[in-house]
Amino acid sequence: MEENIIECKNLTHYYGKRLIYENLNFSVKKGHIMGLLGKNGCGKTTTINILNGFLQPRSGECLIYGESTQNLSPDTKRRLGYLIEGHIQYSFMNIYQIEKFYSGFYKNWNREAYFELMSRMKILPSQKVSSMSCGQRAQVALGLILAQDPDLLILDDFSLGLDPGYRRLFVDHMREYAKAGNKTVFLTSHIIQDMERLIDDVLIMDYNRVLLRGSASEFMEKFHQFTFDLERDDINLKDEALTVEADRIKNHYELYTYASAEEVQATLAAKGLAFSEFKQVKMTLEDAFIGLTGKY
Amino acid sequence: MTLHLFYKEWLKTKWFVLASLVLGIGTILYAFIGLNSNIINAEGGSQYVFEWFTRGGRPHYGIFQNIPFIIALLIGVSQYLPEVLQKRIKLTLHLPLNEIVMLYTMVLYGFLVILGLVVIFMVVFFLIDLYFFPGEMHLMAIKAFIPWILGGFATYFFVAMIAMEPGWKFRFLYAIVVYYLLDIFLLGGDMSDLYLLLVVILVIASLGMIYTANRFKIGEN
Repeated sequence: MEENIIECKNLTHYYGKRLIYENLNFSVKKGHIMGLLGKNGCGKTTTINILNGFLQPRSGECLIYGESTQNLSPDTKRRLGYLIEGHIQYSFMNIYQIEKFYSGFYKNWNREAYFELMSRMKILPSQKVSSMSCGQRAQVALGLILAQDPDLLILDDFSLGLDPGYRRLFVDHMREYAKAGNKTVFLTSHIIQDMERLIDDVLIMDYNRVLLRGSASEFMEKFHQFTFDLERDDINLKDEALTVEADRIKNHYELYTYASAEEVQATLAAKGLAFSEFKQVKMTLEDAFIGLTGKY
Repeated sequence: MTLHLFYKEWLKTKWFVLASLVLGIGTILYAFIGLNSNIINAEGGSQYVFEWFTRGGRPHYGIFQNIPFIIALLIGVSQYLPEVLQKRIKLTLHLPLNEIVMLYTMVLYGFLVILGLVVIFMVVFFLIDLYFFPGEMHLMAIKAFIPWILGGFATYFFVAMIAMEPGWKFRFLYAIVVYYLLDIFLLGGDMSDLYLLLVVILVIASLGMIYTANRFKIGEN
């Protein structure tokens, strides 16, 4: 049985009286990359903060390598790489100073990995982090993580502020690094298409609840989007047992479901609804996410 | 690891340390330049100046009164503001060290810097003062400096405490209380009876960060 690196049990949290989630349970297995997806305000950053020990949940607990995240030992912290939302780093340092600073804390510090990535950046070595672009800061943060060589990475909204090139660079490096070293990664991002290239498992949250927890590829295999035209434009498909989400523009319908094409067609036929242009649409993870959570 | 943490603190504060050094030494030199001109110009010469200091309660070093507070504020703000902005302190707390040890290593740096500056100021002051005044006058000066210097350290500890507080409302509240509390260090006159109280305030100030850091840690607002 694979070892659970992260294990969160019965997490409940409120901000004031506003419930964020209740009895949230999830775990991340060794060597897996798990993406946490959810709309704004559904508790992604709350979860990251709890995992990093910067927030005490109202009840429940998260364990990393068997230790409560509220009291991680220095040895466990040494195995943990953390990327703060927006690639925040010490802005008063330049790329040499920041490397020199961090190198004192990690036994297996790999400065070559850091400087190899830095050499691709078109900046002066003396330039401070504060004067770098978002993409350059992301590379510094990534370089520091690669040099630290942690066993577990927690990345909070890693794509924030990055242009497509830097996003791709980040994702490709991260995937190769994690898979080659059997690293465990827990991450969030607003840009779901980046996650698609990276994650093995997915946790999709909605307000106050978990919509999905499991393998991303299995989810993409089982979850479907169908489009079809009906003669009438006033049919409500949202209440059908097989419907996860449905949408309609005039008489053109979109249906998100775990059911097969045959089952959907049989349901329409059983209701006496004549359909045409019935198609299964190939979905991206982002389409599937929208299909699961709705557009708004 | 301590040296690496000190290195980070030095990068943040080096210009402020230099500014504090210039400010402190400048103030001392200014005090003596003013003193020299008073001795030359005053009717009655140095005798008059001596009377003015002792009975009038306006010694030349009075101008130094606020310097320990100002340098403590400069060092404290330069050290903690970059950590508080965008909650960069999370990066520091995430380093593989006990969190309290980490935070107090930062505090130790600030304390040592202020102590170093104060020692330099005192050496410069008393070297020049020896030229003008007898030993009795130095004792008076030392008694005056002690509460100001203790007040400087208390200011620094309070800045650290307020910086770690996660909620702006509480930060503001602490700042008001601290502002009035620090007035005790500036009461003037012979404060030797109050030394115990000043030390108690200093100890409370130095421990305050544990409370606010814990509030930050558990995500209080």
